Amino acid sequence: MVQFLQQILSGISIGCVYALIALGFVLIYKATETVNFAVGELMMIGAFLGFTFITMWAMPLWLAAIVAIAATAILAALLERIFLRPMVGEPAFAILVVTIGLGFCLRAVAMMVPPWSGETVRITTPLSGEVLRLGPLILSADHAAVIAATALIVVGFFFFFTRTRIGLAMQAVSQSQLAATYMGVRTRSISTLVWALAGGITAIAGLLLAPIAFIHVNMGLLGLKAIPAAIIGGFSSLPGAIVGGIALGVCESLAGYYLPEGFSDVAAYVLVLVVLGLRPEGLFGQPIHKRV
Amino acid sequence: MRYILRTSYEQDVRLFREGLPQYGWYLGWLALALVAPLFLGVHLVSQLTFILIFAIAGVGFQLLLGFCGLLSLGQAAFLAIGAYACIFLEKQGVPFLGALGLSAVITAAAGAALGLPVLRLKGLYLAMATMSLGFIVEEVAARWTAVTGGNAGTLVPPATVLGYPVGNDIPFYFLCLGLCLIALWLAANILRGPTGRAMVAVRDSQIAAQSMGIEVARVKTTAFALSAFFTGIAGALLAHKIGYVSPDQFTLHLSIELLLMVLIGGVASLRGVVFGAMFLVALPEALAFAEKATGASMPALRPMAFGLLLVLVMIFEPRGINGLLEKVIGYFRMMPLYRRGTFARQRSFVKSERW
Amino acid sequence: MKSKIAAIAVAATFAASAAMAQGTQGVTATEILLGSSVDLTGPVAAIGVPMKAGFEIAADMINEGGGIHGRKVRVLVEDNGYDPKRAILAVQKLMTSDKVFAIIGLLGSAITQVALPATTQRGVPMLFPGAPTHIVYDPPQRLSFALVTGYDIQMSAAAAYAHDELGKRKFCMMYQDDESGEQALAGVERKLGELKLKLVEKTSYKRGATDFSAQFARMRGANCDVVMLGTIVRETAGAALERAKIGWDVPMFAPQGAVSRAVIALGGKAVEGLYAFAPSLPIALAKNDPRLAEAVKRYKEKSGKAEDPDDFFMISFAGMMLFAEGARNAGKDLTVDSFVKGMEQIKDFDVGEGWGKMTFTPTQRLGSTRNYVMQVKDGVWTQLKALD
Repeated sequence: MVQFLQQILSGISIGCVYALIALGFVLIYKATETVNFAVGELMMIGAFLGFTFITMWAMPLWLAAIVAIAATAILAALLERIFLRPMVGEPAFAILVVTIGLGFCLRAVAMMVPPWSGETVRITTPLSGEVLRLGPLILSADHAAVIAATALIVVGFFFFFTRTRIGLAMQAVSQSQLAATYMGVRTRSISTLVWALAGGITAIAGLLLAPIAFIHVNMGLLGLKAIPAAIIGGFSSLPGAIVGGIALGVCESLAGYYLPEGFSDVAAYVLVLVVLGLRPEGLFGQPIHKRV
Repeated sequence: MRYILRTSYEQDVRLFREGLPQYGWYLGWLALALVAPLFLGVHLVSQLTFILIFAIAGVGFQLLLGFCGLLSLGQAAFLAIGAYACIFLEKQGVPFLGALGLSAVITAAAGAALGLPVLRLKGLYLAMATMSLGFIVEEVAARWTAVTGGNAGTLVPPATVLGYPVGNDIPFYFLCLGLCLIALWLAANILRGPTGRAMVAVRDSQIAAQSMGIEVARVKTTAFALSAFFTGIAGALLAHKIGYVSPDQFTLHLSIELLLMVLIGGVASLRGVVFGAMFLVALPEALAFAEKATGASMPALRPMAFGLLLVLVMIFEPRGINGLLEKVIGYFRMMPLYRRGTFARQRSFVKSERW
Repeated sequence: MKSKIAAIAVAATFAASAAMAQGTQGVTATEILLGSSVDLTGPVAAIGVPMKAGFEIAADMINEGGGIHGRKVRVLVEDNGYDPKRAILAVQKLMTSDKVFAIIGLLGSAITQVALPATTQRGVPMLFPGAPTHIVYDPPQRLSFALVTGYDIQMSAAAAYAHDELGKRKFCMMYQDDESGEQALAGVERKLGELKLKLVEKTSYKRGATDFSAQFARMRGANCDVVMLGTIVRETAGAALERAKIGWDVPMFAPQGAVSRAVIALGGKAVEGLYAFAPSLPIALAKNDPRLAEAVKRYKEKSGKAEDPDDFFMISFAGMMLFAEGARNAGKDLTVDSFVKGMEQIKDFDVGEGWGKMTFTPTQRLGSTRNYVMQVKDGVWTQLKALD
């Protein structure tokens, strides 16, 4: 029983990372109805930037984190402005392919930076190595930080979307771009802002992930698992993204312990197929109807 | 929009829509392909073989994506199934050609089976479902050690036809050339028959096709099965060419390479597949050449070129090399009457699917 | 159609043999061309990049000493991203398009396993892969020479050490589920079989994985008192971190790949006390050798880095020294046959302080069976013993 709870606990913490990336993903989808396959690479760049600032430029942790997040947000906004603005109106499939291409480009850029390419690195925080004990359960402090940060972000977003003007404008754009434009909302700028926000969130996810896993150029594949998480939760739902991510993390963790080898790698994808088969719009999504 | 100047009633059902000039070009290419080994070195013939193999895989993908509108990010799974089935059969003693045919049928069955659960899904959901299938098949290949040899991989037994070894460079090249021609011919004929037309109808508007009496579920399943058939053959050939199969050859990256190939070659065009295959194989060679010329080793060049190409092609020329070719041909054909706006792109502001 | 194919095939064969009749592939009057393929961008790039430097610096040093019977040595290194498919294509290209004399220092057990039949078929020697896999020397083949012991020999010796010196009886193992990890597993199981013991728990992970919590949870649940690892660089550090995270105090044994500074850099305090078995010493412990010291000095100048290169630099460097010795023994007329004979004349050859003495005979294709027992003490790898 203890092992079961222990696995759930570690599953929740990795699930929070998936949840954050899925949040960024769903944000973009809600506002612009484009799918962004480059979230994994954005996370990787955020993590590497954080590593560079902490280890090589010896910035204090909090400052390095803020700068890394801001830099990734700006990068995401630039990507949207340069590459996705010309694609407005093109079929969704084309935009999907463009984001796949952008993911490759970002990975290539990371490989071109000498301290990053070919290296596997780790960030150590003041919390690294510490463990919290909750009765018989062990939770490493880094994992606890992930959970705490995710909770904070979720609460923060709730207030952002319901209480601030920009948040409301984003909600409006995600419900109907046409109506939002009529009401005076600058939809194109909002799109860029949404990308920036998503970039920031994925950078936070990357920085939270860095102390518990390794940072390396191919870490974007981990971010790719956030897309199944978003599907499970439902594309059009932000709470769904969080729930989906955590569910995914827990499933992976339990599968790794109880099932034979290899199941934990595919747990995410099997779960996605099951959800798509039973309830295609996801746990919290709205059913999609097409009008002819 | 493609402008087909009709000059005869049979044009829509003919194999070569534009008649004799097209025949001539294709015969010329065929002749070149036949004599190529005479004056190209072993390495280049090997590259040509890869082009042919990827072209066969691309035919499969094109049937699914270009002609039925189903985006699948899991084609590597079918390559894997085809490769492993063929090797398994050969190890049981089935002769090479028989194993090839059987493995293609097995892969087709797998394609139909895998296509069934995803029938209701569209667009991104289908892409994600097929991507998941790709990962799952990769993992199954790693775990099912009795058949696949697990993660350590298996060496491929050399291929022989009637006792004559065809596994080596030049005979294998001709084998792949023959199979590629057959695949293209088969695909072209499927497309001009009722099956293909139904697939195109489903691509263009599923609901309209349904109201015309086309059973969409059956058409989609057929599309998956046919696509898997061709991809399975390509997988078996690929395994023999490389000489070694392991589950981590069939990754998402390979599926995306196939996607890139079909996109750059030209969606919804069979000769575009061949262009795309040429491009896909020429790209790493060109990059290696560039690296050698500048003397520096830039490992980042591959993903960068890959990514940039995907982005730029989709932004500037979504119809790929074939689109460019058609523009040029169209220009020359309509010469005195050519207008600048003939090939202007039209944006399709698709209505949101959410309500 | 068939006669057409046959005619073309015959013509091509004539053309090929005409090309071959011009002399041994890769050997001209002034140059010997060698080829290699290592990981420069993938999971083991931390090893691959120093190996490439080792080839280049060794070639420089050989050429400055007058070359080999007046010929300069050049090594062409292709990247394979630790992907067997890319590796086999790179090796094919090196053999057919670049026409190298021999393939030297391939990195990766799975890659070597795949490339060996291809090189043997074309009659190209396979020299000193930086891959601890036994197929290079067992069974001995004419065109294949090995420098490093296989993972099975290393971990077998590790299991014996854990049993004899540390008195452990309940063994667990975590291994990479590909050729290299399975070799390690085979070695451990073979030794345990001799000792009439069995593995209490064995777990595996996929190449490239970074999360080992499930594996360690299972092993801990099985209550073993020693953990054997079949890991390379990154995963060794990851395993050590996981062990520290769950607060489990058991000795861990890792094979050759662990003896890398990257493991210490990644693992930090967690790798303290980790054991490793390797066929060569890390550079820090072998620096008294003048040739190696010179090579390290050149590496620092060339790359601008202040620290020593990764220890796999030694493998490619030693491999080049052995090649040079064999080629010199072959005499002025260098062909594959004369080279093989030249290699077989090597007896008790010293490639440096961090290695055993190398001997090659028609039935022994592994230079030396020595294993060094090492442990991390105070953040550096220190040598405990040398077992031959």
